[in-house]
Formats: sequence, structure tokens, C-alpha cells
Amino acid sequence: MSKSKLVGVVACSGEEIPEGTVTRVVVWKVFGRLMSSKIVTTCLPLFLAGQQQEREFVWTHPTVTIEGCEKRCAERALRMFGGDPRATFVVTDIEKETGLTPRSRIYLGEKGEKLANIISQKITNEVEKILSEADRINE
Amino acid sequence: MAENSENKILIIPCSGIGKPSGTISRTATYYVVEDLLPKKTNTACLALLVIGDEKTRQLVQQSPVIAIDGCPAKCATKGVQASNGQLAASLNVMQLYREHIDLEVKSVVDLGPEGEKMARIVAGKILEEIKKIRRERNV
Repeated sequence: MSKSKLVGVVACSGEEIPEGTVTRVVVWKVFGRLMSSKIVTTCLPLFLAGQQQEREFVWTHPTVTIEGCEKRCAERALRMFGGDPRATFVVTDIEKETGLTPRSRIYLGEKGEKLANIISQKITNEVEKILSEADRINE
Repeated sequence: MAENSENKILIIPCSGIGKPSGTISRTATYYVVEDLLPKKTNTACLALLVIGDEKTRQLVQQSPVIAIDGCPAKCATKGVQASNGQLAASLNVMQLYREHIDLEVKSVVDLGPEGEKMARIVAGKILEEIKKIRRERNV
């Protein structure tokens, strides 16, 4: 458990697949749902390019990753630099559960938007859980 | 992982998540690889490249690459260089935007009509770079 009052949400943003676009939209939907200064995100390549501030963040704060596919690049990247994501959500897995798939890499379409809404709700719940644990520890 | 014949030019955007310029780099890439030159171009996941995926590294080493960066951190360019890729050209959306400052880009998730126009301008610049590369390499 972490007593951090800040949670990082990191998307893979995979360019090759429509699910990469879903990860990006999901991050912003989570921000919209929570409307909280307690969540932050970062560009994954910027993190990997060696920005010290971003790397230190994952050592000291809980993170949640959102992956387009089973390669789980965001989780792997965080682990490469000493992070330990509290939760990982894989879009292709949730596609199988829901039967919803995005239309293209540029436009998610109706089903893709619905999929992004479902995933963003799951991540919002996870982030709220992490923050409430931190609140309990800090009390 | 993207399949790529040896004559295909790779276009790798930064897809930065913190600024609309990352989305512009991504959208411009899709305009080229999906609509304008689908038989001559391809893209690859930058995150997969920068976490050291061997197949993606080989891909950027075997094909000419155009990196599309969203900001001065130049993550796409640096990612290709760090993988000993064939960096043929680098474009920077922020720099190009300076010439089109009148365009009002809406947001990271939804570029809006003027943001999409900016993405088409960047796509045009990518096409110019592709022409140069093909002329130089006689392909």
C-alpha cells in the first residue's frame, strides 16, 4: 500500500493499432471523470527517453497502466526503471469481454467510444481505490 | 509488430499525450500511411521501439524512417537514433505550427476541424520528405 496522494495513469499510445488510440482516449476520460489534481499522466517515450522527474515519480507514487495489446509496453517500461504498477488494463482483453472494438486508429466510432467509457470507468474505480487507501493510511 | 517490405518508408510519430501536438503527429501519420501512401509507408509503435523490442529495432534499421515529434523533447527522433535506425528526416509539429498559429487546435483527444487541418499540413510535409528520400535513394 502507498500513502501517496498522487496516482499516475500511463497509456502505451501504441501507434500501430486502434487499441493504442483507445488507451489515449481512456486516459483523458479518466481525467474528466475524476476532475482531480491527484492524478497525472506522462508521455511514455518521454519517460523512456530518460526524464529524471518522470522516472522518480514511478518509484514514489502508485501507477496504473493502460495497454493496447498483450505486449504491455507501458507496464514493461515502468518495470524497466524500477516502477511497480498497481494495476494494468489491457484493451484487447476488455474487447473480448465486451465484444466492442474501435473502428479505426483515427476515429474510434460508436463501439470504440463505448469501449473507452467502460475502460475509463474501471480505471477510475481503481484510482479511487488507491487514493482512498492512501487517505486511510494518512489519517 | 508492423510488417514492412524493404521499400516502405516508416513514419514514427511521438504520440505525446500531454499536448495536442502529439495527437497532430499521430493523426498526420495516419493520413499518410492509411490514406495517401498506404503501399509505400508504414508505422510502428514508438513505445515498443524504445523498450528495446528486437523486431521493431530491426525494422527501423532496415527502412528509412521519418520521425514526427510533437515537442522539443524530440522523443521519436531520439528513439530512432538510440535504436541505430535509419533516420532519414525529422519533423517537429511545434515548429511547423509556428507558421500556422492562427489555427485553433481543440484538444489532445479531439483536434477539431482546425487541428485536423494542421494534421493535414503536417501530412503534406511528410509527403515532401518522402519525395526527397525516394529521389535520393532512387526508389
